[in-house]
Amino acid sequence: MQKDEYIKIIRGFLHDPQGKVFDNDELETMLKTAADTYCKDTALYRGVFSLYVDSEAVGKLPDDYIEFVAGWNGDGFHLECADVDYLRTQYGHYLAVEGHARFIYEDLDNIGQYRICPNPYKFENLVLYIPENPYGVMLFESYGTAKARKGYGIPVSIAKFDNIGDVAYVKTVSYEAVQDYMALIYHAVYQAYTIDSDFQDADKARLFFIQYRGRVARVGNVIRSVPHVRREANFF
Amino acid sequence: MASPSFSPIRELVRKSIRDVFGLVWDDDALDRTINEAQREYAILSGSLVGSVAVHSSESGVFSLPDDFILPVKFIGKDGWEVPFYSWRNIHAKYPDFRKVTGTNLQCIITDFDGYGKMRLFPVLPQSENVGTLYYQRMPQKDKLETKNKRAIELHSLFQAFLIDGNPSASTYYTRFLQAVNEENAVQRGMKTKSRLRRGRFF
Repeated sequence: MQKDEYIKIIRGFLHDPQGKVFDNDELETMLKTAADTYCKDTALYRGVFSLYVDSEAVGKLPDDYIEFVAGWNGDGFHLECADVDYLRTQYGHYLAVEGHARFIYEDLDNIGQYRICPNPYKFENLVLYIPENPYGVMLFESYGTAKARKGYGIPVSIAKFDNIGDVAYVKTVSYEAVQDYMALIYHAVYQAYTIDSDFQDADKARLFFIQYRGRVARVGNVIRSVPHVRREANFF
Repeated sequence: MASPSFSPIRELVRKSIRDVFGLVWDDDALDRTINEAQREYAILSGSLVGSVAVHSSESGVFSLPDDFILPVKFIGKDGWEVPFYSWRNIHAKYPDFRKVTGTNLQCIITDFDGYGKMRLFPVLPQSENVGTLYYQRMPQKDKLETKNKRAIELHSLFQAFLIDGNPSASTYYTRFLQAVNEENAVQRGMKTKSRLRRGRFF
């Protein structure tokens, strides 16, 4: 569903067809918050990113990252999500050890970045290019990523590297991409009724929030009710 | 434009909210509530089933139709049923199950690539017809596909009272759920739905 239709329906729920209480930008912000919350609550949408780290074994998580699902190193073996307490039990000095990636963990110094242990930097053969004329730059035969200037898609630098692994993760999507649009509408209306103003109405807010939670619970039920999906057995 | 197939439901709803002449709720607004009621009924009851032919791709992933809710059955091209399987179980035996190739389809992984996508295991040669997926589907827009008209009426009334912020909305929603359960009970009686309860329910 597109923005205009969303806003029309939300205005219907809020009895504000002319936009006298909430302007469109405010409602769109609520919709974005609703979409982010829905993606976190349901874990419905998935993405994959390639690992690529600097010499300190630090890399940047994608902007739409929510949660780790699974990971593999360059040889196709499991990459596990671990915390530093566990890493201390595995390695004497987990920050200094080098080798093929086995663990991924959040960088405690910088939120939004990850660290790999052991440090696989020497295996990725990382080369950074900064093109003089970035128009028409061709992208990669193998692994690589371009740091695009925001809004234009013109690369300001290009990193080329060998495969040291990739990670599947739960991600956020835009509100237009969410199929259960009523869940977002209920959450946006709930937000509108909870804003500290003359318009605040706790009872209505609760009514809409219950509807939103019902939608989220239903997604969980739908996923769990797929026949055989949780059966533990050796079929092969 | 108002959907002609919705007119019986519109009349029922208008009678219930004492708006027979459509002074408060115009046809378009009621059609929107009826469409939404049908969507929710389809999600909860699984009353509508569709099918789609599946072809293999280089990545092993295939996209599902826009009206997909959840899978029901997968019949391979040889006529045998292929099981659905969680990626967690495969992951333990094949560390990178995404790259395992083969010629015989072993299972369909339903819960790895996100909603609206499924994965063939192992990855088969490209562009082969591998079988047919039967799935619970959403109803078409502006077309009355739900036989249980009482349930649709109740959900439309629930929405009307919800917009009004009236707490009696929850009463109508409870009655809507009862109507859905009647359909589920019929399906269980006909053994089209499992009687087994899954997970922790205590």
